[in-house]
Amino acid sequence: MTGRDLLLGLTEVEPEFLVEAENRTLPQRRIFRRPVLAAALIALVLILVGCTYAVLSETEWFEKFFADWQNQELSESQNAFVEEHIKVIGQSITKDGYTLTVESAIADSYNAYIKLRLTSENGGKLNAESYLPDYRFREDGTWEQYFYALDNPEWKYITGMGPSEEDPTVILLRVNQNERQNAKPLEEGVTYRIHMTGLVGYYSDGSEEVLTEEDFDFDIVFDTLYNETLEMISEPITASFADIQVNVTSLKLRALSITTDYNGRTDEKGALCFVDSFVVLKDGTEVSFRPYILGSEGATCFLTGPVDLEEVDYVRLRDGTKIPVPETEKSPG
Amino acid sequence: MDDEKILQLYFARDEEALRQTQVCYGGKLQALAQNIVRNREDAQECVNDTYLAVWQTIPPKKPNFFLAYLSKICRNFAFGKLDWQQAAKRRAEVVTLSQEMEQCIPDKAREAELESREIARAVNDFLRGLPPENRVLFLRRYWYCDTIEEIARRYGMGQSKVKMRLRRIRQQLAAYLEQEGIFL
Repeated sequence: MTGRDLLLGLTEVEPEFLVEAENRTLPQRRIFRRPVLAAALIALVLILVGCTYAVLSETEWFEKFFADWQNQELSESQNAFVEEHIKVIGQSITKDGYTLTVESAIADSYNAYIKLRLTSENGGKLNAESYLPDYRFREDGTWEQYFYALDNPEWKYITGMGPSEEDPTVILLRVNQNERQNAKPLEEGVTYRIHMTGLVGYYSDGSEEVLTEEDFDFDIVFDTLYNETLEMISEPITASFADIQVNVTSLKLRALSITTDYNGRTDEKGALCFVDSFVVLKDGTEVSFRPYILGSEGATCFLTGPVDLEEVDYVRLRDGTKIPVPETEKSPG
Repeated sequence: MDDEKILQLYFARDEEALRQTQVCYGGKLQALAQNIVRNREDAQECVNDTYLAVWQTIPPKKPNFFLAYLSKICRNFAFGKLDWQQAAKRRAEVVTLSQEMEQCIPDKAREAELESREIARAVNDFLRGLPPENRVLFLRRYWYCDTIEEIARRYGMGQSKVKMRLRRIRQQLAAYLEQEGIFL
């Protein structure tokens, strides 16, 4: 059977589907046109100062988050990526009068962003500068914040958390996998547990307020995960910064992260060749990437904005080296 | 005129049935055929062949969904008229469509010879499980052979979003066909 056979075979689909395809309209996204809405927007800004995030949908929230981070409006393909791959969750747990809600997530197979929101059950004000789970180390040097697959609880993913700059009641959890350690990629259909202990408010004067010491366990499943990878290196290339030089043998690009392999150094400074580097999209949008797991043989980087691999034009390294998209196909994982 | 009345005319063997079919659905059929053959004259010929086939089959047939019935016949004529070699030379949209469909076929099924009916049964089962929004996007692209631009315009979506969503549906179809082992 060929693609042509499949195309022709489609002729016999059920007529109800054809009627639906002929008549159905899809909910359309509202597009604000600046000239028309200028006055209205000014009024809106006055009303909504300080709480703009409250009225954003989950999609809009992530679009704004990435736009702020990459310091540039998202391109059409980036907005489309967020709309297509966001997972709205809405799972809540209340402890000691405080409710944590896992609102949404977006992920590729090695990097996930999970958005949580804290509310006070009795409507009490949350005035701290930021709220986070209890990240204070215990006496044995560990803490109790984990992310793991329920069917493999021994393997704990690397996590990081930060408050939203604009809204202290939003906590953003970042989950990372280090491919070089043969870590298992994130997968659709697998149940992952977010385990958190305690909630602490951090005030600008340096004081802390423990809201609860209870545990929060959320079980989430990704079903909109982007699991494609684009290997950009077909022949090893050299990358450099100042007097540092490495031989790059692999640069795997994903929607939200990059893994690169290199040699030529015995320390971790090779990763500096990948600071101030960019993925450049076909429409000219530049998305920077930043190394966060460093090693002598490679680095894992996160992208400051989402990238649809089909829209990538080239990668530009810190020393100006341009790596064009190779002719080979993308591969899963 | 509504479908029921047009069908009554066919059953009465009144040639006004053909005129009313043309008035109500001629444009849609022409667009469908033209999406496939990309040639105005050939498309018109497909539409005329469709009218004739409908005249010859109703009665005894009495389709529940008249436009769907017409469209299926017209699509068949259009694909029958299509010169695939010429289409490949001028990089026609149908060639892109068949390449996209190629991605959905499990390796094990490439050697299998299947009748259209078997393929349609598998695809129908798959389509039934899709959310309606994705189902219509899939059919607009692979049944009606609309371009990405046309779909984006029709539904007020960006072209990237349409492409991305279609890619995801194709992946789902490939996984479905593989998982169900339909072709083994």
